[in-house]
Amino acid sequence: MQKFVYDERVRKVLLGIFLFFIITLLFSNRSLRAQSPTKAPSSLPPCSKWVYLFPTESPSLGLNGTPIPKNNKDYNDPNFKTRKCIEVQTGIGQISTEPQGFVRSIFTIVLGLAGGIALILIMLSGYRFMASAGNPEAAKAAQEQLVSAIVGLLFIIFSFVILQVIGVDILHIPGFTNK
Amino acid sequence: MKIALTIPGTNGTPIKIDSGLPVPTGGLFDRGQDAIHVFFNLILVIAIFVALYFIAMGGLDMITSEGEKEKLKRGREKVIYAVMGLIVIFLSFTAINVISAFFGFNLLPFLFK
Repeated sequence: MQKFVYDERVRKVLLGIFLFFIITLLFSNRSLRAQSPTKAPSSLPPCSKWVYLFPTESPSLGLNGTPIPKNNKDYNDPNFKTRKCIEVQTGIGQISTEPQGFVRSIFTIVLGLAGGIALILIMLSGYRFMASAGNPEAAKAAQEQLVSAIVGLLFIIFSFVILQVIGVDILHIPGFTNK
Repeated sequence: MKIALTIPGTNGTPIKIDSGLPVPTGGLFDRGQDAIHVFFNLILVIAIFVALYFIAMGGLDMITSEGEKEKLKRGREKVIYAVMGLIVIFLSFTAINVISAFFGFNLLPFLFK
């Protein structure tokens, strides 16, 4: 029987599967949600937050737009949209459809993934500490993994901090606001 | 949403079987978040048992060393590293939270809102 060798080819195949999974996850609006068989599938992704364009219809007043009279031609048109979807529900959380909010959603997802992976790596290094059982080489490897996990997380965070410092505090790019 | 099944009955009236259980919905931020919680809790619980095992093994080494310096040292190091690993695992949440609080980003949105 041929021995399993973790070589370049296997690595490429695994990377391909991983990328396919990630891309499917990112571009699927509903694939991760179990659907009732009786429910007819709709062409639109499930919207989780609406913005009412006219405050007279909104449950919470004070949003953008001014009330329009009922005798307006547009108001009586059934296809005239009085609300707008600004957030869709996907398998990886709620993603905003507005440019600023979309960027913020992506940042949240990336930071969450980075934090989760760093947490798992730190825990793994703890396990390796325990399993080293006094073997200095294994303990050193575990310590290096611990330090590397934290340093990697700090690098990811620093990229966002630099973006925030340059984009928000110095250049005042519209859209990049603090919350 | 519930699981309901209808099968054709004997007299033409279909029999409806209603389990009464809701259909689990998918999505990471819905039910999957519970799975992530369970996963991290499981890691912490397993860590306690692994640490217990290595501390017991280290203690056993110390007992059976019979004055042998090398074996005594090995047993002591086993205990020390087991405790160190347990501390690292239990402080991992703190480490990530300290970093996220320092820079003002939420690094664990899957765990803490």
